[in-house]
Amino acid sequence: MSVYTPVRPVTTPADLAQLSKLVAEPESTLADPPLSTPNAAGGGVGALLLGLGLLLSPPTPKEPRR
Amino acid sequence: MDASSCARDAAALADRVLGALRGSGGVGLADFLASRADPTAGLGAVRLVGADIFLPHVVLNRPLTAQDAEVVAASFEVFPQATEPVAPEQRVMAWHDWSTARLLATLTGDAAVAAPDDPAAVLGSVEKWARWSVAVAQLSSLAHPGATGPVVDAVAAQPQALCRGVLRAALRRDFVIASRLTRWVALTHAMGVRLPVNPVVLVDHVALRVGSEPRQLLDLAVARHLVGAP
Amino acid sequence: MTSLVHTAHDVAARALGWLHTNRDLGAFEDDAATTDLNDPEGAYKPLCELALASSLVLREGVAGTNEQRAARALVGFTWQQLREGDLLYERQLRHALLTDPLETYAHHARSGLRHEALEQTLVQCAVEDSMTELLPNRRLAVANAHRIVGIHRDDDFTAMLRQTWLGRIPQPWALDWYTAYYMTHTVFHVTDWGAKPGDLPPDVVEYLENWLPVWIDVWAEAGQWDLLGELLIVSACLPEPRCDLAEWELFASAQHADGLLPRDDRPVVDDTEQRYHDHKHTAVVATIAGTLAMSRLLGGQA
Repeated sequence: MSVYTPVRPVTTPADLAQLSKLVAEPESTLADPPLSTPNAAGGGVGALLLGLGLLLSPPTPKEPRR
Repeated sequence: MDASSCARDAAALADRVLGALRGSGGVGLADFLASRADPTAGLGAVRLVGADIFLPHVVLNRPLTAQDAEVVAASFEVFPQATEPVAPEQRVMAWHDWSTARLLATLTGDAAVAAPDDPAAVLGSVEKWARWSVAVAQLSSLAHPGATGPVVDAVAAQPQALCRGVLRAALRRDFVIASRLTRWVALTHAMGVRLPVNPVVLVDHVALRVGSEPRQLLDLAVARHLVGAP
Repeated sequence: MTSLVHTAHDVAARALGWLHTNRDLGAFEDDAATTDLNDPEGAYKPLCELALASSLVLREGVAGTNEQRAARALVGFTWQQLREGDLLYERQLRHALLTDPLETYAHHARSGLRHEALEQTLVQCAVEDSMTELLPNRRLAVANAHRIVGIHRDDDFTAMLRQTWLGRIPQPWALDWYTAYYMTHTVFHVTDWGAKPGDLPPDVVEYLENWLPVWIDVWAEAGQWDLLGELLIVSACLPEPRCDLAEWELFASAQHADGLLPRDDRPVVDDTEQRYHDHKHTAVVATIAGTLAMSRLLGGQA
Protein backbone atom coordinates (compact mmCIF):
# COMPACT_ATOMS: atom_id res chain seq x y z
CA MET A 1 0.00 0.00 0.00
CA SER A 2 1.18 3.45 -0.79
CA VAL A 3 2.10 5.38 2.31
CA TYR A 4 0.78 8.59 0.84
CA THR A 5 0.35 9.94 -2.63
CA PRO A 6 3.56 9.15 -4.50
CA VAL A 7 3.70 12.62 -5.96
CA ARG A 8 4.20 15.02 -3.07
CA PRO A 9 1.60 17.78 -3.15
CA VAL A 10 2.93 21.24 -3.78
CA THR A 11 2.05 23.89 -1.23
CA THR A 12 2.27 27.65 -1.38
CA PRO A 13 3.33 30.12 1.31
CA ALA A 14 -0.37 30.85 1.72
CA ASP A 15 -0.98 27.20 2.64
CA LEU A 16 1.75 27.37 5.22
CA ALA A 17 0.33 30.61 6.63
CA GLN A 18 -3.08 28.95 6.83
CA LEU A 19 -1.61 25.99 8.70
CA SER A 20 0.16 28.34 11.13
CA LYS A 21 -3.16 30.01 11.83
CA LEU A 22 -4.76 26.66 12.57
CA VAL A 23 -1.92 25.71 14.91
CA ALA A 24 -1.98 29.07 16.69
CA GLU A 25 -5.77 29.12 17.00
CA PRO A 26 -6.78 32.30 18.87
CA GLU A 27 -9.14 32.35 21.83
CA SER A 28 -12.82 32.78 21.16
CA THR A 29 -14.53 36.14 21.52
CA LEU A 30 -16.44 36.51 24.74
CA ALA A 31 -19.92 35.24 23.90
CA ASP A 32 -21.41 33.97 27.13
CA PRO A 33 -19.90 35.75 30.15
CA PRO A 34 -21.26 35.14 33.64
CA LEU A 35 -24.04 37.73 34.00
CA SER A 36 -27.00 38.36 36.24
CA THR A 37 -29.43 36.20 34.29
CA PRO A 38 -30.57 33.71 35.20
CA ASN A 39 -30.22 34.75 38.78
CA ALA A 40 -30.95 32.85 41.89
CA ALA A 41 -31.30 35.76 44.23
CA GLY A 42 -33.74 38.24 42.69
CA GLY A 43 -33.34 41.99 42.64
CA GLY A 44 -31.42 44.07 40.16
CA VAL A 45 -27.93 45.49 39.95
CA GLY A 46 -26.79 46.57 43.35
CA ALA A 47 -29.57 44.82 45.19
CA LEU A 48 -26.94 43.55 47.53
CA LEU A 49 -25.14 46.66 48.62
CA LEU A 50 -27.43 47.08 51.53
CA GLY A 51 -28.57 43.54 51.16
CA LEU A 52 -31.41 41.24 50.70
CA GLY A 53 -32.86 42.09 54.06
CA LEU A 54 -35.02 44.68 52.43
CA LEU A 55 -36.25 42.24 49.84
CA LEU A 56 -37.07 39.61 52.41
CA SER A 57 -38.70 41.86 54.96
CA PRO A 58 -42.45 41.68 55.66
CA PRO A 59 -44.83 43.28 53.19
CA THR A 60 -45.79 46.91 53.28
CA PRO A 61 -45.25 48.17 56.81
CA LYS A 62 -46.35 51.78 56.58
CA GLU A 63 -44.80 53.74 59.38
CA PRO A 64 -47.20 55.98 61.32
CA ARG A 65 -46.79 59.69 61.37
CA ARG A 66 -45.31 61.02 64.56
CA MET B 1 -5.24 23.94 0.96
CA ASP B 2 -8.72 24.25 2.35
CA ALA B 3 -8.40 25.18 6.05
CA SER B 4 -11.68 23.62 7.06
CA SER B 5 -10.74 20.26 5.45
CA CYS B 6 -7.44 20.39 7.29
CA ALA B 7 -9.23 21.07 10.60
CA ARG B 8 -11.70 18.26 9.88
CA ASP B 9 -8.87 15.87 9.06
CA ALA B 10 -7.07 16.89 12.25
CA ALA B 11 -10.20 16.02 14.23
CA ALA B 12 -10.35 12.60 12.53
CA LEU B 13 -6.68 12.03 13.25
CA ALA B 14 -7.07 13.08 16.89
CA ASP B 15 -9.92 10.58 17.12
CA ARG B 16 -7.58 7.84 15.88
CA VAL B 17 -5.03 8.85 18.51
CA LEU B 18 -7.72 8.70 21.18
CA GLY B 19 -8.68 5.24 19.98
CA ALA B 20 -5.06 4.11 20.09
CA LEU B 21 -4.70 5.44 23.63
CA ARG B 22 -7.76 3.40 24.59
CA GLY B 23 -6.12 0.31 23.19
CA SER B 24 -7.61 0.00 19.71
CA GLY B 25 -4.18 -0.52 18.13
CA GLY B 26 -1.92 1.93 16.32
CA VAL B 27 -2.79 5.33 14.94
CA GLY B 28 -1.99 4.16 11.40
CA LEU B 29 -0.82 7.45 9.93
CA ALA B 30 -0.22 5.97 6.45
CA ASP B 31 -3.69 4.48 6.41
CA PHE B 32 -5.13 7.76 7.67
CA LEU B 33 -3.47 9.72 4.90
CA ALA B 34 -4.58 7.26 2.24
CA SER B 35 -8.17 7.73 3.38
CA ARG B 36 -8.11 11.53 2.92
CA ALA B 37 -9.64 13.15 -0.14
CA ASP B 38 -7.05 15.93 -0.18
CA PRO B 39 -3.51 14.76 0.66
CA THR B 40 -2.37 18.34 1.29
CA ALA B 41 -5.03 18.81 3.94
CA GLY B 42 -4.20 15.36 5.31
CA LEU B 43 -0.50 16.18 5.68
CA GLY B 44 -1.48 19.54 7.14
CA ALA B 45 -3.60 17.68 9.69
CA VAL B 46 -0.59 15.56 10.66
CA ARG B 47 1.35 18.74 11.35
CA LEU B 48 -1.62 20.32 13.14
CA VAL B 49 -2.08 17.42 15.54
CA GLY B 50 1.70 17.55 15.84
CA ALA B 51 3.41 15.72 18.66
CA ASP B 52 0.08 14.32 19.82
CA ILE B 53 0.24 11.70 17.07
CA PHE B 54 3.01 10.08 19.12
CA LEU B 55 1.00 9.90 22.36
CA PRO B 56 0.35 6.15 22.05
CA HIS B 57 4.10 5.66 21.70
CA VAL B 58 4.88 7.98 24.62
CA VAL B 59 2.16 6.68 26.94
CA LEU B 60 1.86 3.02 25.90
CA ASN B 61 5.40 2.57 24.63
CA ARG B 62 4.22 1.42 21.22
CA PRO B 63 6.87 1.27 18.53
CA LEU B 64 6.59 3.70 15.61
CA THR B 65 6.39 2.04 12.21
CA ALA B 66 8.67 3.22 9.41
CA GLN B 67 5.63 4.01 7.29
CA ASP B 68 4.18 6.28 9.97
CA ALA B 69 7.53 7.99 10.49
CA GLU B 70 7.69 8.61 6.77
CA VAL B 71 4.29 10.34 6.79
CA VAL B 72 5.49 12.73 9.47
CA ALA B 73 8.67 13.42 7.53
CA ALA B 74 6.57 14.05 4.42
CA SER B 75 4.47 16.61 6.27
CA PHE B 76 7.65 18.52 7.08
CA GLU B 77 8.73 18.37 3.44
CA VAL B 78 5.40 19.54 2.09
CA PHE B 79 5.00 22.28 4.70
CA PRO B 80 8.55 23.53 5.20
CA GLN B 81 9.39 25.03 8.58
CA ALA B 82 9.86 28.78 8.76
CA THR B 83 13.59 29.43 9.01
CA GLU B 84 13.19 32.69 10.89
CA PRO B 85 9.81 32.87 12.62
CA VAL B 86 8.72 36.45 13.23
CA ALA B 87 4.93 36.64 13.47
CA PRO B 88 3.41 35.29 16.71
CA GLU B 89 1.73 32.38 14.92
CA GLN B 90 5.04 31.52 13.22
CA ARG B 91 6.73 31.38 16.61
CA VAL B 92 3.96 29.10 17.93
CA MET B 93 4.31 26.94 14.84
CA ALA B 94 8.08 26.74 15.32
CA TRP B 95 7.76 25.37 18.88
CA HIS B 96 4.85 23.13 17.93
CA ASP B 97 6.98 21.68 15.11
CA TRP B 98 10.00 21.38 17.35
CA SER B 99 8.03 19.18 19.74
CA THR B 100 6.87 16.99 16.84
CA ALA B 101 10.35 16.73 15.31
CA ARG B 102 11.94 16.05 18.67
CA LEU B 103 9.61 13.14 19.50
CA LEU B 104 10.01 11.78 15.99
CA ALA B 105 13.80 11.85 16.43
CA THR B 106 13.51 10.15 19.81
CA LEU B 107 11.29 7.39 18.43
CA THR B 108 13.35 6.82 15.29
CA GLY B 109 16.72 7.19 17.01
CA ASP B 110 17.68 10.15 14.86
CA ALA B 111 19.80 13.06 16.01
CA ALA B 112 18.16 15.57 18.36
CA VAL B 113 16.77 18.73 16.85
CA ALA B 114 17.68 22.20 18.02
CA ALA B 115 15.07 24.20 19.93
CA PRO B 116 13.82 27.50 18.52
CA ASP B 117 14.59 30.79 20.22
CA ASP B 118 14.00 31.90 23.81
CA PRO B 119 10.53 30.76 25.02
CA ALA B 120 9.84 34.32 26.20
CA ALA B 121 9.66 35.30 22.53
CA VAL B 122 6.68 33.02 21.95
CA LEU B 123 4.99 33.32 25.35
CA GLY B 124 5.44 37.04 25.96
CA SER B 125 5.72 38.62 29.37
CA VAL B 126 4.11 36.68 32.21
CA GLU B 127 3.03 40.04 33.66
CA LYS B 128 0.44 40.01 30.87
CA TRP B 129 -0.80 36.66 32.13
CA ALA B 130 -3.98 36.60 30.02
CA ARG B 131 -2.12 36.89 26.71
CA TRP B 132 0.70 34.66 28.05
CA SER B 133 -1.78 31.92 28.92
CA VAL B 134 -3.34 31.96 25.45
CA ALA B 135 0.13 31.41 23.95
CA VAL B 136 0.67 28.57 26.44
CA ALA B 137 -2.64 27.04 25.34
CA GLN B 138 -1.59 27.22 21.69
CA LEU B 139 1.46 25.15 22.62
CA SER B 140 -0.54 22.39 24.36
CA SER B 141 1.03 19.64 22.24
CA LEU B 142 4.26 20.34 24.12
CA ALA B 143 2.57 19.26 27.37
CA HIS B 144 2.79 15.48 27.11
CA PRO B 145 3.82 12.92 29.72
CA GLY B 146 7.54 13.16 30.36
CA ALA B 147 7.81 16.45 28.47
CA THR B 148 10.89 18.57 29.07
CA GLY B 149 12.42 21.61 27.43
CA PRO B 150 12.56 25.37 27.66
CA VAL B 151 8.81 26.00 27.23
CA VAL B 152 7.91 23.34 29.79
CA ASP B 153 10.36 24.89 32.26
CA ALA B 154 9.00 28.38 31.55
CA VAL B 155 5.38 27.32 32.09
CA ALA B 156 6.09 25.20 35.17
CA ALA B 157 7.84 28.20 36.73
CA GLN B 158 4.59 30.20 36.57
CA PRO B 159 1.84 28.12 38.21
CA GLN B 160 -0.13 31.21 39.25
CA ALA B 161 -0.25 32.72 35.74
CA LEU B 162 -1.10 29.30 34.30
CA CYS B 163 -3.97 28.77 36.73
CA ARG B 164 -5.19 32.34 36.20
CA GLY B 165 -5.29 31.57 32.50
CA VAL B 166 -7.34 28.43 32.92
CA LEU B 167 -9.73 30.18 35.32
CA ARG B 168 -10.16 33.01 32.82
CA ALA B 169 -10.89 30.54 30.01
CA ALA B 170 -13.38 28.62 32.15
CA LEU B 171 -15.26 31.79 33.15
CA ARG B 172 -15.24 32.97 29.52
CA ARG B 173 -16.61 29.54 28.63
CA ASP B 174 -13.84 29.09 26.07
CA PHE B 175 -13.40 25.38 26.64
CA VAL B 176 -10.97 24.93 23.77
CA ILE B 177 -8.46 27.15 25.56
CA ALA B 178 -9.53 25.73 28.92
CA SER B 179 -8.90 22.11 27.90
CA ARG B 180 -5.48 22.98 26.48
CA LEU B 181 -4.47 24.84 29.63
CA THR B 182 -5.86 22.05 31.79
CA ARG B 183 -3.33 19.79 30.10
CA TRP B 184 -0.54 22.16 31.15
CA VAL B 185 -1.93 22.36 34.67
CA ALA B 186 -1.89 18.56 34.81
CA LEU B 187 1.69 18.38 33.53
CA THR B 188 2.82 21.00 36.03
CA HIS B 189 1.12 19.02 38.79
CA ALA B 190 2.82 15.83 37.58
CA MET B 191 6.15 17.66 37.82
CA GLY B 192 5.50 18.23 41.53
CA VAL B 193 4.76 21.95 41.34
CA ARG B 194 2.33 23.25 43.98
CA LEU B 195 -0.78 24.70 42.33
CA PRO B 196 -3.48 27.09 43.57
CA VAL B 197 -6.23 24.92 42.02
CA ASN B 198 -7.09 21.26 42.42
CA PRO B 199 -5.98 19.72 39.10
CA VAL B 200 -8.21 16.65 39.34
CA VAL B 201 -11.30 18.75 40.04
CA LEU B 202 -10.30 21.04 37.16
CA VAL B 203 -10.04 18.15 34.71
CA ASP B 204 -13.52 16.94 35.68
CA HIS B 205 -14.99 20.47 35.51
CA VAL B 206 -13.70 21.02 31.99
CA ALA B 207 -14.55 17.47 30.87
CA LEU B 208 -18.23 18.06 31.61
CA ARG B 209 -18.30 21.12 29.37
CA VAL B 210 -15.87 20.50 26.56
CA GLY B 211 -18.22 18.76 24.13
CA SER B 212 -17.17 16.05 21.72
CA GLU B 213 -14.41 17.61 19.61
CA PRO B 214 -11.69 14.93 19.43
CA ARG B 215 -8.75 17.33 19.81
CA GLN B 216 -10.15 18.64 23.09
CA LEU B 217 -11.01 15.14 24.25
CA LEU B 218 -7.40 14.26 23.52
CA ASP B 219 -6.22 17.22 25.64
CA LEU B 220 -8.33 15.94 28.50
CA ALA B 221 -7.21 12.33 28.03
CA VAL B 222 -3.61 13.52 28.37
CA ALA B 223 -4.56 15.63 31.40
CA ARG B 224 -6.28 12.66 33.04
CA HIS B 225 -3.25 10.48 32.44
CA LEU B 226 -0.98 13.15 33.92
CA VAL B 227 -3.00 13.61 37.11
CA GLY B 228 -3.40 9.85 37.47
CA ALA B 229 -7.20 10.03 37.23
CA PRO B 230 -9.20 7.16 35.67
CA MET C 1 1.51 55.50 41.75
CA THR C 2 0.89 59.23 41.50
CA SER C 3 -1.01 58.66 38.29
CA LEU C 4 -3.07 55.98 40.01
CA VAL C 5 -3.88 58.27 42.93
CA HIS C 6 -5.03 60.92 40.46
CA THR C 7 -7.17 58.46 38.51
CA ALA C 8 -8.79 57.07 41.67
CA HIS C 9 -9.33 60.58 43.00
CA ASP C 10 -10.91 61.82 39.79
CA VAL C 11 -13.26 58.85 39.47
CA ALA C 12 -14.42 59.23 43.08
CA ALA C 13 -14.71 63.03 42.97
CA ARG C 14 -16.74 62.99 39.76
CA ALA C 15 -19.02 60.17 40.92
CA LEU C 16 -19.62 61.87 44.27
CA GLY C 17 -20.26 65.18 42.48
CA TRP C 18 -22.83 63.48 40.26
CA LEU C 19 -24.55 61.94 43.30
CA HIS C 20 -24.59 65.32 45.01
CA THR C 21 -25.93 67.17 41.97
CA ASN C 22 -28.71 64.66 41.45
CA ARG C 23 -29.49 63.92 45.11
CA ASP C 24 -33.05 65.26 44.96
CA LEU C 25 -33.87 62.52 42.44
CA GLY C 26 -33.19 60.04 45.24
CA ALA C 27 -35.57 61.61 47.75
CA PHE C 28 -38.74 59.90 48.98
CA GLU C 29 -41.58 60.79 46.65
CA ASP C 30 -44.02 62.44 49.01
CA ASP C 31 -42.58 61.99 52.41
CA ALA C 32 -41.00 59.16 54.28
CA ALA C 33 -44.10 58.57 56.37
CA THR C 34 -46.11 57.07 53.55
CA THR C 35 -43.42 55.37 51.54
CA ASP C 36 -43.21 51.64 51.05
CA LEU C 37 -39.83 50.86 52.53
CA ASN C 38 -39.96 47.29 51.26
CA ASP C 39 -40.17 48.30 47.63
CA PRO C 40 -36.82 47.25 46.15
CA GLU C 41 -37.32 49.89 43.46
CA GLY C 42 -38.00 52.58 46.07
CA ALA C 43 -35.85 55.31 47.55
CA TYR C 44 -35.01 53.72 50.90
CA LYS C 45 -32.16 51.41 49.93
CA PRO C 46 -30.44 53.94 47.62
CA LEU C 47 -30.53 56.48 50.45
CA CYS C 48 -28.73 53.97 52.66
CA GLU C 49 -26.12 53.46 49.97
CA LEU C 50 -25.67 57.19 49.57
CA ALA C 51 -25.07 57.45 53.31
CA LEU C 52 -22.58 54.60 53.15
CA ALA C 53 -20.47 56.25 50.44
CA SER C 54 -20.59 59.61 52.20
CA SER C 55 -19.64 58.11 55.55
CA LEU C 56 -16.56 56.48 54.02
CA VAL C 57 -15.46 59.69 52.29
CA LEU C 58 -15.70 61.40 55.67
CA ARG C 59 -13.99 58.53 57.52
CA GLU C 60 -11.01 58.40 55.19
CA GLY C 61 -10.55 62.17 55.01
CA VAL C 62 -8.42 61.99 51.87
CA ALA C 63 -10.83 63.78 49.52
CA GLY C 64 -10.53 67.45 48.64
CA THR C 65 -12.44 70.17 50.48
CA ASN C 66 -15.28 70.23 47.93
CA GLU C 67 -15.73 66.47 48.13
CA GLN C 68 -15.71 66.47 51.93
CA ARG C 69 -18.35 69.19 51.85
CA ALA C 70 -20.44 67.24 49.33
CA ALA C 71 -20.17 64.08 51.46
CA ARG C 72 -21.22 65.96 54.58
CA ALA C 73 -24.16 67.48 52.68
CA LEU C 74 -25.21 64.09 51.30
CA VAL C 75 -25.24 62.30 54.64
CA GLY C 76 -27.13 65.30 56.02
CA PHE C 77 -29.61 64.90 53.18
CA THR C 78 -30.17 61.18 53.82
CA TRP C 79 -30.50 61.80 57.57
CA GLN C 80 -33.11 64.46 56.87
CA GLN C 81 -34.95 62.06 54.53
CA LEU C 82 -34.98 59.50 57.35
CA ARG C 83 -36.47 62.15 59.63
CA GLU C 84 -33.24 62.39 61.65
CA GLY C 85 -33.44 58.67 62.37
CA ASP C 86 -37.06 58.59 63.53
CA LEU C 87 -38.07 56.54 60.53
CA LEU C 88 -35.42 53.94 61.36
CA TYR C 89 -36.39 53.97 65.03
CA GLU C 90 -40.09 53.41 64.33
CA ARG C 91 -39.34 50.66 61.84
CA GLN C 92 -36.96 48.87 64.21
CA LEU C 93 -39.40 49.17 67.09
CA ARG C 94 -42.30 47.77 65.04
CA HIS C 95 -40.28 45.11 63.21
CA ALA C 96 -37.62 44.09 65.69
CA LEU C 97 -36.17 41.31 63.54
CA LEU C 98 -35.37 43.51 60.56
CA THR C 99 -31.75 44.44 60.10
CA ASP C 100 -32.02 47.33 57.64
CA PRO C 101 -32.67 50.04 60.26
CA LEU C 102 -29.45 49.06 62.05
CA GLU C 103 -27.47 48.80 58.84
CA THR C 104 -28.71 52.17 57.61
CA TYR C 105 -28.16 53.78 60.96
CA ALA C 106 -24.55 52.57 61.12
CA HIS C 107 -23.48 54.86 58.26
CA HIS C 108 -25.06 57.86 59.95
CA ALA C 109 -23.69 56.98 63.36
CA ARG C 110 -20.25 56.69 61.78
CA SER C 111 -20.80 60.23 60.51
CA GLY C 112 -21.72 61.50 63.98
CA LEU C 113 -25.50 61.49 63.43
CA ARG C 114 -26.89 59.60 66.43
CA HIS C 115 -30.40 58.70 67.65
CA GLU C 116 -30.57 57.72 71.30
CA ALA C 117 -33.94 55.94 71.31
CA LEU C 118 -32.96 53.91 68.25
CA GLU C 119 -29.72 52.87 69.92
CA GLN C 120 -31.61 51.71 73.01
CA THR C 121 -33.88 49.67 70.78
CA LEU C 122 -30.92 48.21 68.92
CA VAL C 123 -29.25 47.22 72.20
CA GLN C 124 -32.43 45.49 73.32
CA CYS C 125 -32.72 43.67 69.99
CA ALA C 126 -29.11 42.53 70.37
CA VAL C 127 -29.73 41.24 73.89
CA GLU C 128 -32.81 39.33 72.71
CA ASP C 129 -31.10 38.11 69.55
CA SER C 130 -33.99 39.64 67.62
CA MET C 131 -32.65 39.07 64.17
CA THR C 132 -34.14 37.39 61.15
CA GLU C 133 -32.23 34.45 59.66
CA LEU C 134 -29.73 35.63 57.06
CA LEU C 135 -27.38 34.43 54.37
CA PRO C 136 -23.83 34.20 55.76
CA ASN C 137 -22.52 37.29 53.95
CA ARG C 138 -25.56 39.24 55.13
CA ARG C 139 -24.95 38.06 58.70
CA LEU C 140 -21.50 39.67 58.46
CA ALA C 141 -23.11 42.92 57.31
CA VAL C 142 -25.19 42.98 60.49
CA ALA C 143 -22.22 42.11 62.67
CA ASN C 144 -20.25 44.96 61.14
CA ALA C 145 -23.14 47.35 61.67
CA HIS C 146 -23.24 46.40 65.36
CA ARG C 147 -19.47 46.97 65.50
CA ILE C 148 -19.73 50.41 63.88
CA VAL C 149 -22.56 51.57 66.14
CA GLY C 150 -20.71 50.19 69.16
CA ILE C 151 -23.24 47.60 70.28
CA HIS C 152 -21.36 44.81 71.98
CA ARG C 153 -22.09 41.28 70.86
CA ASP C 154 -20.08 38.09 70.96
CA ASP C 155 -19.90 37.94 67.15
CA ASP C 156 -17.10 35.72 65.88
CA PHE C 157 -16.22 37.28 62.52
CA THR C 158 -13.82 34.52 61.54
CA ALA C 159 -16.39 31.80 62.19
CA MET C 160 -19.01 33.81 60.26
CA LEU C 161 -16.59 34.31 57.38
CA ARG C 162 -16.11 30.54 57.15
CA GLN C 163 -19.84 30.14 56.53
CA THR C 164 -19.68 32.32 53.40
CA TRP C 165 -18.84 31.36 49.82
CA LEU C 166 -15.47 33.11 50.14
CA GLY C 167 -14.63 31.62 53.50
CA ARG C 168 -14.87 28.12 52.09
CA ILE C 169 -12.16 28.92 49.48
CA PRO C 170 -13.98 27.17 46.61
CA GLN C 171 -12.34 26.40 43.29
CA PRO C 172 -12.18 29.89 41.77
CA TRP C 173 -14.31 29.10 38.71
CA ALA C 174 -17.21 28.11 40.98
CA LEU C 175 -18.41 31.70 40.87
CA ASP C 176 -21.29 33.44 39.14
CA TRP C 177 -22.31 37.08 38.87
CA TYR C 178 -24.50 37.05 41.97
CA THR C 179 -22.05 35.12 44.08
CA ALA C 180 -19.33 37.56 43.03
CA TYR C 181 -21.37 40.28 44.76
CA TYR C 182 -21.69 38.05 47.85
CA MET C 183 -17.92 37.56 47.81
CA THR C 184 -17.20 41.29 47.59
CA HIS C 185 -19.57 42.04 50.45
CA THR C 186 -18.00 39.40 52.64
CA VAL C 187 -14.70 41.27 52.28
CA PHE C 188 -16.34 44.68 52.84
CA HIS C 189 -17.90 43.62 56.12
CA VAL C 190 -15.04 41.58 57.55
CA THR C 191 -12.64 44.47 56.93
CA ASP C 192 -15.21 47.19 57.72
CA TRP C 193 -14.72 48.62 54.23
CA GLY C 194 -10.96 48.44 54.25
CA ALA C 195 -10.42 49.70 57.81
CA LYS C 196 -9.33 46.28 59.09
CA PRO C 197 -7.52 44.55 56.22
CA GLY C 198 -5.62 42.43 58.74
CA ASP C 199 -8.88 40.73 59.76
CA LEU C 200 -8.88 38.68 56.56
CA PRO C 201 -7.29 35.28 57.28
CA PRO C 202 -4.06 34.61 55.33
CA ASP C 203 -5.58 31.83 53.20
CA VAL C 204 -8.41 34.13 52.13
CA VAL C 205 -5.91 36.89 51.32
CA GLU C 206 -3.84 34.49 49.22
CA TYR C 207 -6.98 33.30 47.44
CA LEU C 208 -8.08 36.84 46.62
CA GLU C 209 -4.59 37.81 45.48
CA ASN C 210 -4.53 34.83 43.15
CA TRP C 211 -7.94 35.30 41.57
CA LEU C 212 -9.00 38.96 41.75
CA PRO C 213 -7.02 39.80 38.58
CA VAL C 214 -8.94 37.12 36.69
CA TRP C 215 -12.38 38.07 37.97
CA ILE C 216 -11.60 41.70 37.17
CA ASP C 217 -10.39 40.80 33.68
CA VAL C 218 -13.46 38.73 32.85
CA TRP C 219 -16.11 41.11 34.18
CA ALA C 220 -14.32 44.12 32.71
CA GLU C 221 -14.34 42.39 29.32
CA ALA C 222 -18.07 41.80 29.82
CA GLY C 223 -18.52 45.54 30.51
CA GLN C 224 -19.87 44.95 34.03
CA TRP C 225 -18.66 48.27 35.43
CA ASP C 226 -20.67 48.01 38.64
CA LEU C 227 -19.15 44.65 39.54
CA LEU C 228 -15.71 45.82 38.37
CA GLY C 229 -16.01 48.72 40.83
CA GLU C 230 -16.90 46.32 43.65
CA LEU C 231 -13.90 44.15 42.80
CA LEU C 232 -11.69 47.25 42.88
CA ILE C 233 -12.99 47.94 46.40
CA VAL C 234 -12.03 44.40 47.39
CA SER C 235 -8.58 45.02 45.91
CA ALA C 236 -8.22 48.07 48.15
CA CYS C 237 -9.31 46.08 51.24
CA LEU C 238 -6.39 43.63 51.10
CA PRO C 239 -3.54 43.87 53.62
CA GLU C 240 -1.26 44.66 50.67
CA PRO C 241 -3.69 46.69 48.57
CA ARG C 242 -3.86 45.80 44.90
CA CYS C 243 -4.13 49.01 42.92
CA ASP C 244 -3.53 48.32 39.25
CA LEU C 245 -3.26 51.35 36.98
CA ALA C 246 -4.57 49.54 33.88
CA GLU C 247 -7.65 48.32 35.75
CA TRP C 248 -8.30 51.80 37.09
CA GLU C 249 -7.83 53.45 33.71
CA LEU C 250 -10.34 51.02 32.23
CA PHE C 251 -12.84 51.83 34.99
CA ALA C 252 -12.24 55.57 34.53
CA SER C 253 -12.68 55.29 30.77
CA ALA C 254 -16.27 54.12 31.31
CA GLN C 255 -17.15 57.28 33.28
CA HIS C 256 -19.09 60.01 31.48
CA ALA C 257 -18.05 63.66 31.52
CA ASP C 258 -20.76 64.54 34.07
CA GLY C 259 -19.54 61.88 36.51
CA LEU C 260 -22.12 59.19 35.71
CA LEU C 261 -20.54 55.75 35.67
CA PRO C 262 -22.74 53.29 33.76
CA ARG C 263 -23.54 50.03 35.54
CA ASP C 264 -22.74 48.04 32.39
CA ASP C 265 -22.02 48.43 28.70
CA ARG C 266 -25.63 48.83 27.58
CA PRO C 267 -26.68 52.25 26.23
CA VAL C 268 -27.40 54.97 28.80
CA VAL C 269 -30.79 56.64 28.32
CA ASP C 270 -31.19 60.44 28.14
CA ASP C 271 -33.98 60.81 30.69
CA THR C 272 -32.45 62.39 33.80
CA GLU C 273 -34.52 60.46 36.33
CA GLN C 274 -33.99 57.14 34.60
CA ARG C 275 -30.25 57.78 34.39
CA TYR C 276 -30.13 58.41 38.11
CA HIS C 277 -32.25 55.37 38.87
CA ASP C 278 -30.20 53.06 36.64
CA HIS C 279 -26.70 54.19 37.59
CA LYS C 280 -26.76 55.59 41.13
CA HIS C 281 -25.48 52.37 42.63
CA THR C 282 -22.44 52.37 40.38
CA ALA C 283 -21.68 55.97 41.38
CA VAL C 284 -21.78 54.87 45.02
CA VAL C 285 -19.43 51.99 44.21
CA ALA C 286 -17.08 54.29 42.27
CA THR C 287 -17.00 56.80 45.11
CA ILE C 288 -16.07 54.11 47.61
CA ALA C 289 -13.57 52.40 45.30
CA GLY C 290 -11.76 55.65 44.46
CA THR C 291 -11.78 56.83 48.07
CA LEU C 292 -10.38 53.59 49.49
CA ALA C 293 -7.79 53.15 46.72
CA MET C 294 -6.57 56.70 47.22
CA SER C 295 -6.49 56.29 50.99
CA ARG C 296 -4.53 53.03 50.86
CA LEU C 297 -2.08 54.40 48.31
CA LEU C 298 -1.49 57.46 50.46
CA GLY C 299 -1.11 55.27 53.54
CA GLY C 300 -4.27 56.57 55.17
CA GLN C 301 -6.32 55.00 57.92
CA ALA C 302 -7.24 51.81 56.07
